[in-house]
Amino acid sequence: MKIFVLSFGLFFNTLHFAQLQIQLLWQEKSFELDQSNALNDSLQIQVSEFKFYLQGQERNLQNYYYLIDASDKGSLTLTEKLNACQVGLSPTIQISSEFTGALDPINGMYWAWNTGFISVKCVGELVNIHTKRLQHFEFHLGGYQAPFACFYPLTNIGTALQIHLDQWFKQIFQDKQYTTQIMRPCCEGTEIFNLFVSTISHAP
Amino acid sequence: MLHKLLFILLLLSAFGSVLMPSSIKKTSWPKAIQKTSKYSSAEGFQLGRALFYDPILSKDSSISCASCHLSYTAFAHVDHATSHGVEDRIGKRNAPGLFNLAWRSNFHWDGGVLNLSGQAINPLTHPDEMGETLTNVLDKLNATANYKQYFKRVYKQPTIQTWMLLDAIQQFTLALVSKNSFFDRVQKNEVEFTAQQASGYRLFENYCQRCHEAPLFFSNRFESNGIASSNDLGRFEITGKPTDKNLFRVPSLRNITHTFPYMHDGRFKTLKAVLQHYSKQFNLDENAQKDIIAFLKTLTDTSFIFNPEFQFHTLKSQP
Repeated sequence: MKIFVLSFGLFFNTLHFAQLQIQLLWQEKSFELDQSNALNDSLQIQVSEFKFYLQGQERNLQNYYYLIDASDKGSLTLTEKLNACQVGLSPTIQISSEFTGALDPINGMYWAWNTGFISVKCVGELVNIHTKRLQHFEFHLGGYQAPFACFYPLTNIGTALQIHLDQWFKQIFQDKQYTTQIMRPCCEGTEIFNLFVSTISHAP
Repeated sequence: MLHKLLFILLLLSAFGSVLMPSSIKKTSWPKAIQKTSKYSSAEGFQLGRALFYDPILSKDSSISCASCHLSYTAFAHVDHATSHGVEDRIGKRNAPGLFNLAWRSNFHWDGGVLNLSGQAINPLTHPDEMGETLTNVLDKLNATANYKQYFKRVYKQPTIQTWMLLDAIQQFTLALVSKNSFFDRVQKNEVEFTAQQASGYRLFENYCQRCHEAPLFFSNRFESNGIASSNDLGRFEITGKPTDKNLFRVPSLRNITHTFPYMHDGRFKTLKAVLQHYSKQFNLDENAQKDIIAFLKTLTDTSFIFNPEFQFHTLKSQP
């Protein structure tokens, strides 16, 4: 009986409170941090840190700020019923001195020296399988002022957002060769951010 | 007798423009830009004051905010070209005086920081300054009974969080208001400039005021100070715009006698050296330079600099 109550409770929670799921994918399978994934025949990639901000708004215009963190599975489930959603934070909140919850600078997403929050943070290593050469990469993509604004509204949110990380990294390291260290608002950072949002798809 | 009286009146009217306070342009203080904390209180101020003077905020408990911002020198790092940090590390910019921060729309020499509450994260976490992480700072504070107790009193929460730490420091730094210099008393018609100070003020209005606007004697714009260096490009480092290269925010000239050395890299030790630097641009002779310095000295506010309310404080001394 106890088991039944517990199971029912879990089912109830999922049914009523998971309004939006964030799915981090590598070739349509679940993506995990610190695992090696082949980018092509010669490159392997291992990501140690991956976070990004989502800003959502309910129908009553109440705003919510979410830090989606690959190391925290709980952050991949959003419980509010959002009417609108965007990747990155709006300029107003960026300079508002709001430092609570997801916006706590302790999360490592606040640019103290250049007021504003990082929209997408991704850190890892690239390994050349043939030469065994290892290259560190670190992307802090953000900025709220033109021409380096890094926020993007998502339409038709649905019940799940799928982030196709394999496509993103292929565009960064294979199709075009970007600098491997970006830690300030800049052209390249904005381009990589735009590539990131282009890999997001929606599940109905 | 009547002739003598007329002569005296004539003399007074001739010099009146120099000596009479009525000749000094009256300036009113603008509206503050930075917002006051909603948790603002006397206890919040004392908490922020204690944190400001406590080296617990640094990596090895050796450096406090006050290490580079001394109350007796209008919270500047007197006689240090650039700021010093943990493990004898040296920063690349001069630590400016801290006062009238509520009227600033940006902070740091490059203006990269837009709100005072978030500013403190920079010195706390910069490897050349306090070199600490926010996580460690919070852990240390949460492990200190006095702090836990005080934070709880001010913020009504059991655990110290980042926003509380930043808010408390801001409560202290926002309260650092300096507006009682000789110049301010001239503005209120309580005292008068000497002839040299008045001459200096007129020269100042002609040559310096465009950037250093009264009554705050700074502006929130970015200007060239005529110094170009390869290792610090100023505002450009924030915006990336080529036109912002070598532009720096305009510092306040209030309490300038106490905030040496000067410029963003602290290269000038004396006001004389600063005036000599600018005299190349404005063609100021030696007397003009001396007069301007005489005026600048009227911007010193000793009631602020020596205000015991802003000096060293520790929570341990509280009942």
